[in-house]
Amino acid sequence: MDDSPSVTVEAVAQLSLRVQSVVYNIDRERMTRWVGALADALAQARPLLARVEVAVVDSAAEAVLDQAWRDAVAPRLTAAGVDEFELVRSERNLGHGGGQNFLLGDRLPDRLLVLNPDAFVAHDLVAEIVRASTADGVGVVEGRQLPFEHPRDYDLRTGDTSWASGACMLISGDVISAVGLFDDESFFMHGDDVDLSWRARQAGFRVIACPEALVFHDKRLGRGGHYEAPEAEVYHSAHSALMLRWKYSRPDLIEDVIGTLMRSPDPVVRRAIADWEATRDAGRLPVPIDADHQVGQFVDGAYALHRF
Amino acid sequence: MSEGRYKFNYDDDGPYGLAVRLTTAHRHAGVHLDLGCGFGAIAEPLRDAGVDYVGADADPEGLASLVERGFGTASIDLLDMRGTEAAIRSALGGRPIGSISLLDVIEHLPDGDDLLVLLRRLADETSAPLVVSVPNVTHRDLAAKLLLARWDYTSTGLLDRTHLVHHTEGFLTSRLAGAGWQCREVMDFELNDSDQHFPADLPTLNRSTSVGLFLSMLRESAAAHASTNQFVRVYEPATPFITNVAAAASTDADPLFTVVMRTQGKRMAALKEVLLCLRGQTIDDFELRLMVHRATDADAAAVEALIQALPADLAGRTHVSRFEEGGRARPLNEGLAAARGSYVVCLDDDDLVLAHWLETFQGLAKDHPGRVLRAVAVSQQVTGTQSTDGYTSHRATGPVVPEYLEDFDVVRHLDLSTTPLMGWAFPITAYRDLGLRFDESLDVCEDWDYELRTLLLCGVAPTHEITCVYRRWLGVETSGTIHGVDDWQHARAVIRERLDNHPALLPAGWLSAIDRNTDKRTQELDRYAAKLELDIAELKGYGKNLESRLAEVEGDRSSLKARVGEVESDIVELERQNAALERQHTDRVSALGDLNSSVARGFRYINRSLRRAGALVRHLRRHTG
Repeated sequence: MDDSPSVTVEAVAQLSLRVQSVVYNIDRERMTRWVGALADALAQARPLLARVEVAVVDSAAEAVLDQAWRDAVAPRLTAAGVDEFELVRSERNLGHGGGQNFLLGDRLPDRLLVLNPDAFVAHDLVAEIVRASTADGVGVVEGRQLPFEHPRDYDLRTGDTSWASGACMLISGDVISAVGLFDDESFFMHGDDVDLSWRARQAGFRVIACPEALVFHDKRLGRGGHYEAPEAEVYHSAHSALMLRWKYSRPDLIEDVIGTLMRSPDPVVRRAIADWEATRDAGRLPVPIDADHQVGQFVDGAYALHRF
Repeated sequence: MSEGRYKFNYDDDGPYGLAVRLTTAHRHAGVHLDLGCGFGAIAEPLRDAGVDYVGADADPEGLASLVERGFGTASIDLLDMRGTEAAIRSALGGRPIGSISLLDVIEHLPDGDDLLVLLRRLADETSAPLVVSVPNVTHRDLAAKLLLARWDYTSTGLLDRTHLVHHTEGFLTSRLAGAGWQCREVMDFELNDSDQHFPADLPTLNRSTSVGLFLSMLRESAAAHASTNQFVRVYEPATPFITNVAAAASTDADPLFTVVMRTQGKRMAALKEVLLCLRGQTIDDFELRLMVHRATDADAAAVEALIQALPADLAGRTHVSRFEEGGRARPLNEGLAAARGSYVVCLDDDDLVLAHWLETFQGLAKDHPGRVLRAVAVSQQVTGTQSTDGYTSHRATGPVVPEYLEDFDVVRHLDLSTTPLMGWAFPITAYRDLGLRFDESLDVCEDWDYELRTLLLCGVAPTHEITCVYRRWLGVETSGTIHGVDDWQHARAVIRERLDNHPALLPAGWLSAIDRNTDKRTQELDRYAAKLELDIAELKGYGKNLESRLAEVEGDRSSLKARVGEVESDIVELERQNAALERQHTDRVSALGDLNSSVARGFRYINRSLRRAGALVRHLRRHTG
């Protein structure tokens, strides 16, 4: 993807990698398979890495994953060369960004791989995505999702793109040092990846897509070929649409987006708008950044130019 | 066997003639032992061929006939195996066995297997071949009659009432193999209409009826020997001599699904993606048959390397086969032949499937075992790309398009494919028991053809679930770019004509499907008719405008005609005046000599005026008709 010479084993051999996933009401068997796929990918990449950690948080009120499950799957990770495998529970549902922040704590790995529990990695994903992350200036790398690619455009030559999806994103330790991880005050489970990507870019890091790093994201389509988002996703998607425009200094777009959202027949969307407006009225919105609009992109309702 | 009714005549092209040909072709030096010989129909032809013939039977009448004709005989009752070996050895009198025949014998014996084993032991001394002739109980005539509850025993023939054992080809083969014999050559006797072809007007038997033709086609497709009357074969002793050899049983349970994937190894990036989709399946009750077809050595090696690099859970269930022959349908047929799954699903190396692709088929199979299973596909445009470091890849460049029918409709699928190949799961029984294979003569549409033939026999279990993505490639060579529109249309025409030429079995719901489509067509025609009505009304209005304009033009034309008439009258008057002036001029020319030139100029002026008036008249005539 990049003009720089191929990365040598020695160049990445000093890197530590931490893989984190936030689980909420997941199928236990499915999660076991997720571990299997991840273990295969880590085993292949392990010679390239100095240390590997895996951490999972179960945020559901009634956790599906327990110690017995951990004990059952841990040998797969151990055999793959994983140095530490954590399974923790959170007292409440922290959301995606909050769960990731909770898992990371004050650790600072060289690379943090954020992975959805319904995202099954290819056997060479870890090697590919870590390799891509060592190119000049790269702070965040995104894997390519299958069977439905994200429509966001990226530079075919360099991979540069507006933002990276949190379904499978690799974040460098330098980015975390510079801008922190997810803004879980503003975003619960949607838009936090866009926000982190834009803050990384604002700090001078590149955000790139790595088409060679494949991840199978278990998405289903409803009748008519439409993606039928669950209620929580509809709510937080609408909420983050407003929050991103506010945070990235585009109050001029907020009325338009509210008008568009209000045309939705879904009451969940109206609730999201009301909640956001209540936060605004209470003066609890974040301080806007990117005043000169260097990183925030709002194109036809999306946060990047889309290919289709 | 040993009754007078079995005194058959010899015919070179009949079962006896075929048995003689096999015997003479494969015999070794020594006596030919014809067990259960009856009247010895093959005795003379074998003697003519230089064979030392000995007939053995329990029927004294037949043996007496043979003795009278100068042949050696032995009285052996094959229904009583005690002493059979001693009787045979006695008949041989120390001579070696050159060949053995059992013509129309083993189907009458309760202990035929013991006899076959005994003969195998005797044959071991000289490796003597064994010629066997038995009736084929799978002749289509018998099946056609049994469907209508007819099982007509006769004194001889396919349903000889003394038959104790009925033979299919499979049973005959396993029976002989179980006794230590392996088939060397086949000369089966064919009869399109067997001795059981009666009554000829029985609907299932008569191939001029729809049901008769349909059943005949079904039987012929299902397995060979639909018209074989008699299996006539020669066997040789198998080495080593091991009887009752059971096929090595697989210790692995057969999977529910066999995924057959064609690849030429040309699109490794796409292959890697579809393999990841298989790893992402919610169930793992499948095997993968990766058919590497017409690949270069380098591409085949790349495929092998990719499979070897896969994690064990997928690599362990993947079987790679490589071959060069045939067209697009060949790897699919090879996959069917190798499949261990109860269902076969085909997946090309450039398409994608969702996580519940197989799980959805699993649910359908549970509820509708034996049917063809159908899920919904969507399509997406994909464009080939190449990065600066030479990595050839691709990316989606269009949205997901729901171009395939969500509600399966057999009538519409008969017209045009409404589901790509990976949207189907075919019961292996369609291949194994109905004999349905992909048509290798088709370069395109081989999938649609197979779908149609299979679903018309097995029926369809459809779902609305979208489980797969058909990728429409831009800038990449595919069958769509290799073959032109003419190829596709030609293949479609061939497939439909072939279907149209034979009776078919439509699945339940066919009538309402036809009604639905008829209603749909009627509605389309109604809409078209309404549009035509609007067009006609518009044209009528336009016509009225034209008529009005024409009337105006007619009025203008009449006015112009009147004006032309006036001008013509003026011209006539002017010509008259001119003539009068010319006359006056002639009369006065001498008297007015000095005024001549000025008068002449006046005449020239008048003439020019007349020419102009004439031109004006001609012009007006042209424009007023």
